[in-house]
Amino acid sequence: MNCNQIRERMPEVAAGFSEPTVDEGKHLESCGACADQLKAMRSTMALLDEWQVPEPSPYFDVRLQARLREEMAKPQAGWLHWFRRPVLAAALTVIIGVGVGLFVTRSSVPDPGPPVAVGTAVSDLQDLEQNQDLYSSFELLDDLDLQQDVVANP
Amino acid sequence: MVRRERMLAIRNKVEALPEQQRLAVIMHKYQQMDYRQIADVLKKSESATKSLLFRAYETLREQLKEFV
Repeated sequence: MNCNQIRERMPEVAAGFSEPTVDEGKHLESCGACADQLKAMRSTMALLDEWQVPEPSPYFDVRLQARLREEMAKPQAGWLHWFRRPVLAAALTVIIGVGVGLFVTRSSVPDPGPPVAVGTAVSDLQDLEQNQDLYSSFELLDDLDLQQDVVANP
Repeated sequence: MVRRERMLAIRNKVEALPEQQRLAVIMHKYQQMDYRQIADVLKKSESATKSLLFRAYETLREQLKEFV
């Protein structure tokens, strides 16, 4: 018998639920520290006896039994009851919102249409539209050349 | 008045224990459950339950020594 072994049994002995065995008794006689600890624990146990854990009232028991019976009598909700949970409902709403948002964003991007063959009238017009700034600069240069001719040959 | 204060202190100290220790003390001291039963409830080994109870009572002894 050592100190650790008797310490494991100490709450049981101090509470008075069992008596120390012969070996434990011998150890307590020879070990002052364990004997003091047991004495202190007995005093603590006596102090703890002054307080009783409150028992639930009969009214609480009756209400609890009634609630249990109500819950057991309810029909099973099936798999749909998962969707009635607030967290799941919120998560589902977010997922649907993000999905709809992505769908709307993608469908609003303009379709570039079928590719146009190079050299056709349509491609020429597209070139003109895309390079409008550049062509307008050319026009300014043309006007400048014309003015210089007029000045040189009045 | 003194007795009332003492009871209040005991209740507060028991309730302030870590959850597992508190449950173990209530089951052991106030429900008279043995180590095996407490170990089953707390899903611990019997040896771990004994250590848990010893620590809990040591904490209570330390914190309630002014009333002993």
